[in-house]
Amino acid sequence: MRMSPIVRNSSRLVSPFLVAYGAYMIVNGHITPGGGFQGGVILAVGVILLITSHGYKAVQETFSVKLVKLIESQALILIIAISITGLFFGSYFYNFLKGGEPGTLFSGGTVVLFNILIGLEVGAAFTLLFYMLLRWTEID
Amino acid sequence: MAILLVIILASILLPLDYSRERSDSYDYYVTNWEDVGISNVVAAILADWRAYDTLGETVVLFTAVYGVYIILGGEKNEDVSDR
Repeated sequence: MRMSPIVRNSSRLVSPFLVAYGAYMIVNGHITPGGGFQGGVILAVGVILLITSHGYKAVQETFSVKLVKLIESQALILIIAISITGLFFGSYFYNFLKGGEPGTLFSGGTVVLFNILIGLEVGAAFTLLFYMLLRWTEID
Repeated sequence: MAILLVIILASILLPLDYSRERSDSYDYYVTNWEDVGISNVVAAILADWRAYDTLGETVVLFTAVYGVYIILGGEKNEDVSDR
């Protein structure tokens, strides 16, 4: 089923703002409400909105399943790598980049990296879930 | 029927004690938040003190999504345009 031009154009206008909002939420997760999980879901919604309006085929040319799988698995590997790197500084999950004025953007150390990677992981996971559920129903 | 349900639920849920339980971990988090150096205490708990929990959550999500991926066909017909 082909969506009307109004739906397609307005979703194309809205989704960049959703991605920007999700990225803001992830990067500022340690000073404002929000964080990796919530921001990642908003990132995924930006792609899912395009899938629902433009169809699986058109979105897949830009965000291929291979790319989504790569982001998801590498984000999880990097999270585990960060947690293991803490072992060399004291203990598992040790915050080895601690510093900065509390309340500013450049503070918190590994918490920021952790939030960014969780955001990528969650966003890619939900996008892959939608790809997998929708790829048999494409009747465009 | 709906009114009866509401009355039953209200008679069960309203007399409960909703005052906050002051436990040791609450006092610890509130007094020692400067250990992490983050002004958002929720993020400090989720990503520093309880980071192990968040890692497990992420692994669960990863496993669930890959389970769906494998059950619904895996690499078969991954690119619809190739079909």
